[in-house]
Amino acid sequence: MLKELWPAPKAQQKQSISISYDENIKALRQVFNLCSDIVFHEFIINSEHPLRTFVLYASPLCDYQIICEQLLNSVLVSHDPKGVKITKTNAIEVLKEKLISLAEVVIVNTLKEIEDKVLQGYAALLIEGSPQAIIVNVRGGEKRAIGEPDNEPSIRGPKDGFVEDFETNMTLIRRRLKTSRFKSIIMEKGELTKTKIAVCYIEGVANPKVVEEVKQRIARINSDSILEGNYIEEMIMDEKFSLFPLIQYTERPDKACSSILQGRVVILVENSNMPLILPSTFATMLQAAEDYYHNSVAASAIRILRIIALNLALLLPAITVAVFSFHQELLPPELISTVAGARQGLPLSIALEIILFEFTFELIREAGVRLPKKIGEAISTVGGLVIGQAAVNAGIVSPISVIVVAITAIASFSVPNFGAAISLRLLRFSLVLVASLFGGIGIMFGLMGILIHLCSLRSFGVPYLAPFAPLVLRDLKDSIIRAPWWFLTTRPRTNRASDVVRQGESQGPRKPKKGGGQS
Amino acid sequence: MLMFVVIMSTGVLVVPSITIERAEQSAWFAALLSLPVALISLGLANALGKRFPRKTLAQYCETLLGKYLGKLAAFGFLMFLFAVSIIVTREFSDYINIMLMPETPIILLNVILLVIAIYAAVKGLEVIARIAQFILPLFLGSIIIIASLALFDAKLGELLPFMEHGLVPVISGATLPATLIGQIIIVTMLFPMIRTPQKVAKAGIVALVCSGIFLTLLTVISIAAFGPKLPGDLLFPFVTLARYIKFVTVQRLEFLVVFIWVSGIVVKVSIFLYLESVAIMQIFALKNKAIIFGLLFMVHTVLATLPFSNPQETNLVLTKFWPLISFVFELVVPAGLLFIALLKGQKVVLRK
Repeated sequence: MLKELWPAPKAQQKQSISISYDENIKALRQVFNLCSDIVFHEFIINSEHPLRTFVLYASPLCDYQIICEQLLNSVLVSHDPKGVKITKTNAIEVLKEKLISLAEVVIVNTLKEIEDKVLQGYAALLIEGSPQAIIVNVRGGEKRAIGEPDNEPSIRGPKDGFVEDFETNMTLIRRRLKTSRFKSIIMEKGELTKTKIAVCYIEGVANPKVVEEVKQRIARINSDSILEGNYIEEMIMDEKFSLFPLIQYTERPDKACSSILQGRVVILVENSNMPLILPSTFATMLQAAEDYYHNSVAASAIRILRIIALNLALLLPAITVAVFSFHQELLPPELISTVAGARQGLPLSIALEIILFEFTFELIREAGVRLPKKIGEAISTVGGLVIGQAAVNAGIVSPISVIVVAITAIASFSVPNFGAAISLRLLRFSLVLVASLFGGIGIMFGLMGILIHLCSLRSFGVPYLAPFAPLVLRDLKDSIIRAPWWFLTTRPRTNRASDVVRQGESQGPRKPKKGGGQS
Repeated sequence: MLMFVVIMSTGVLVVPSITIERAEQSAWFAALLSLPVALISLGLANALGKRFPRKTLAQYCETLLGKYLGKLAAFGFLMFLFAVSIIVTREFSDYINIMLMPETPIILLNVILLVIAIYAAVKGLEVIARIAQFILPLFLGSIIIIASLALFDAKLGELLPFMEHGLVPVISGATLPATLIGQIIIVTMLFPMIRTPQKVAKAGIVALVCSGIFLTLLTVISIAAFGPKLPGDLLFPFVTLARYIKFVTVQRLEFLVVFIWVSGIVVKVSIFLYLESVAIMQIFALKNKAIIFGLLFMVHTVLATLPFSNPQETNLVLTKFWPLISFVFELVVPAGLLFIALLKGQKVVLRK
């Protein structure tokens, strides 16, 4: 199948390395024809019978220092090692065993292997008269330094964030999980991008069925390119279309690790600084890493605040529209006169006003995200002050709708998961529409529709609304509230972890017995 | 396990509206009286379910009565399901129409309700049960809030004298609530889909008792707040009650009732639609879900819109004819089937 979709050039067909040095050079030069970044470096090994040799590497992916100081140095400068003479037949082995002082040295037999490895940042060494090549790891090149996670900042908690480099990301996780039970299975996907994908989990904690399912779903992917986590996210989801994100992502290694420890699976994608976390539920969308670092009472209060914010972001504009255009009787008399006064002589209906203003706000937000930071600030000033203030003063919209849109905007930003926040926005618009048509009943029906949708979703077999529906009483301790750590003795059952116990019972703080302590 | 919730919400749901009327002060006793009737119904359903653990009512009708008579009985039962869902739909639209949206045509309300309910029904039993489970706490919470706030206005003296006019009006008042919570008979259709059939009886009893208690409680509070005569004349006493509540600054609680109604009705209609689709599939051996649900949608829209011209007629049907029809299908038919099953010597089958 793959071969048909992307036929490889002729020269690459599993051709083994020829015994003729010139032929090898010719073949490889043809393969890398017009690839300006591939370096062919020819030299002669200084043995009794000088041997022509060439080293081949992709300069953007390699560390020059390693090439010069380690690889070339060991091959060029040194002479025959003690007791052995380098000849055509044993050159490869002597080099591998005695001369090259690098960590990863492998011998390969085909041109295809050489090509693949060179493109991954290895250097290939071919020597006159031997039908094999030495592959040496000289990977390096530019990468971003570990920085603070921009999109998920925290007040308390570690400040390192994932970067694009695959190895660095692995380091960040491995540093936190020092156990051989932490497994990472590497798969390679994308015919042209050759992207490494690592499925990470803890054996005995994650549900083996989920791990197996993840592996199978990733194995099914047959694509030419994978540039970011979402490329695979949308292919391995449970539903073809879903308004809500069924797979989470994070920029924080501590969050990734805590998810792994809860029995979930993390998928690292090469060149993406946002690993995927699955299975994920609606409840996890509302959780931030910081919840676990603060006092549990405060963390619980913040979570409840977020749920209120979620409801505001979803419902406030719709309810305003419904109340103002259908159920005015619900307003207290004092308020209704104020509002009626403010709305006198306005050209648009409240529904239209709110939709228009929400739309403007979305425009400002989108413009602010895409523009360079300095211009972005200008946009927010123009948008917020000028448009908001001027529109009210000019008598085009009522202050009420500006207030409503502003509160909604703030509320929608307090939902930690950006994907969930986007779906909330979409739903908000549709709820305003139904509210303007059918009032409160419309909203109720809209909500029921959303609820039905949510209830029907699953993320890798885990119902999306767990632990609420189906109700898992034991998991409620880490859902709306965050119980103190000494109470979180079991992993969430909704992930169907195989090893449920997380820590011993009753480790909570205890008061010393009276009179027992020394004074 | 899932069952508990389904029964619970369908049971509690239709409570608020048309219950009190005839028995005046003693209406609460009437509500309580309906409980044993529904329990008998559950007992019959359970006995049948134990004998045919892998079949729905529509299927074992055929086993027991033979092909044609069985199909006829199953079809009758299907008609009963139809009638329930249609009446519920209509009742709901009436309520919305009168209370909130007098200018919206009823057919439109029916259509929205049915679209949402069919969406849930297409998703299947598990999804419906989840929805029920999700809304149950909110549902009970709302009822409890309204009931407890209404207590401030309640005068328990209104409940006396007990049984002023003897037992007859009480019993006649009990018929409607009895048929409502007697709808638990639908478990006969659900048996094969339940993972733990042993628990059905227990969950059913809990659900019924809770429903019965809530019914009674609401009736008591309505009477205590409004006196014995007024609630009978009101179309929806419970809504008026919610509207009437004024506790410090908390007032106008109808939105809670709307919440209870909409969520409950959607669950109820969708479960009935689901059962109807299952029954149709089994009786007529149809496979195509799209056609079945399309058909259900059209039938319901038309029948919930046309036959009744106003809410009074709906009420009339509910009080005059409905109890009789319901009792036939909730008690007589299952009892008959059980009797035949016993005659044929069908043993209790244990399913693991």
